[in-house]
Amino acid sequence: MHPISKLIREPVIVFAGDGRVTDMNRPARARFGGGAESWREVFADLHGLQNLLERASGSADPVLGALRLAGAVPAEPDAKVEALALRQGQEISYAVKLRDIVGDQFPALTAQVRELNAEIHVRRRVQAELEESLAHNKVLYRELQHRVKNHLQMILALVSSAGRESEDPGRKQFVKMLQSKLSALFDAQRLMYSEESSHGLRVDQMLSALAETVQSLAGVRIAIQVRAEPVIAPNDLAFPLALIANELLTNAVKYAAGEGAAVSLDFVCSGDQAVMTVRDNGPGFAPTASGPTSSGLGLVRGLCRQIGGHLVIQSDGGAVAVVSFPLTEASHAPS
Amino acid sequence: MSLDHLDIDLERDMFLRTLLRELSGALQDVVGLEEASGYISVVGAAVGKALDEKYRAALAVDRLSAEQVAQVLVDLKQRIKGDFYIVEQREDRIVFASNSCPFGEFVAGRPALCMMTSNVFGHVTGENLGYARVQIDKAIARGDPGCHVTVYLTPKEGGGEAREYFRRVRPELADR
Repeated sequence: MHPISKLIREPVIVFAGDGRVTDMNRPARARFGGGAESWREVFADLHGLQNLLERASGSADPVLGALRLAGAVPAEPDAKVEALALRQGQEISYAVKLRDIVGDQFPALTAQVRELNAEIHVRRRVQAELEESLAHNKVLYRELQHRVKNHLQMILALVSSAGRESEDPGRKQFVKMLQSKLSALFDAQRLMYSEESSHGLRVDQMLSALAETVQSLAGVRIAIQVRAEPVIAPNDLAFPLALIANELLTNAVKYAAGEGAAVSLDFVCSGDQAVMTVRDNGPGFAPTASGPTSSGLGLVRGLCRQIGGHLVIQSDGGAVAVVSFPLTEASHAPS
Repeated sequence: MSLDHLDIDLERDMFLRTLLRELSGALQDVVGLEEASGYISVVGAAVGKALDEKYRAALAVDRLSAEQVAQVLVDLKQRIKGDFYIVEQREDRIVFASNSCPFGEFVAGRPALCMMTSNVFGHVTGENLGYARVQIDKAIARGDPGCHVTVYLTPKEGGGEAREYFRRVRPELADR
């Protein structure tokens, strides 16, 4: 090759008209190996190379193009090239320069980059497999939620049926209590199934649904006002919270005063703490109360312990139940 | 509400010329004039090849003669409103001139677009007569009042700024 080629840092390969490699500069030898004999060892695209060389043959100036390099991985873009026809009488040979590919001056670094590229390739494949597996699991999880919802609905129907068939007032009351608790679980489960997220559900939607259910099960016209922030609660918080809210609302509806009976539920968040307040305008709370109500409060206290919260009950123009509990990292406002 | 009555200087030709001006301007700004000229040469050579094939088919000849080449180059420029005419035709050269560019005022400051003319002229001439050396002596794109293009038909050592074109050869690469 002409000595002036030593000034060119990009790989330059000279091809004869039949595609034989007749010469290479040093960067080209470093890249393709000194023993490369055919265009096949440099480029992967016969027609692309033929077109480029044909265009070069029509001009005395270099022509631009892009060609796939031999051994290029699928993600690798085509190499930018310049081709120049070299005329000696009737004979034409072609010099092709790989643009923007500087000869390998840092072989150790290049080797490391290649290793990293290979690792990235493997990781991408693994990631693709994991994503596929995750998608499959999501389908299974959704199917599971769907079945749980259906089973809960079925249990609820059986319990309701048992209540209707019984003449015993004690049993009827027990069934009603059971129905109320199951309804709370069913509401939470139904919302979870309808939500796109498999990690949790919207507290405001869940509390509104619960309020409607409690209202309909109470069998009396009573206004329940729900004011809740749109926080997403993870599943392990949502279900106990649903049962607590159900219990407090049921009590509030039960004891709210006659004609102007009113019940409210407020759910507010401040930092990593949440406070749920259920208020009615009934006679207020009697600390010594016993019976079903106190057993309900026992359940609420137990569930409060489960979610790391505590319950305060006071009388203030009616009964006021305040449940405070920490929000986990998974709880957040929906986007 | 129809906006047909608005006096907006916009139709397909105007839009395409604007597009070409901005495209060539972007090329010049991004990769520089020399490399932009290289890219436009690729387009010019392809356009030249297509036009050459059209004229040869229309004239039903295998190769155009020197006279036909001159007529074809003038004709194709006139068809695209380039207003080129032959100033001089000799054994070794054809000289063309024009007072208007096919790209109109959109060519100002876009000398890379002159590679379209150089390549189309060079390709048609080289392909039919075997050799062409195209020299753009004056160009509206460079601020001259008109264009002046000389197509030399014989090789000459040290061709200066002119670009040389040859009849293309498709190499038969061994598929091994």
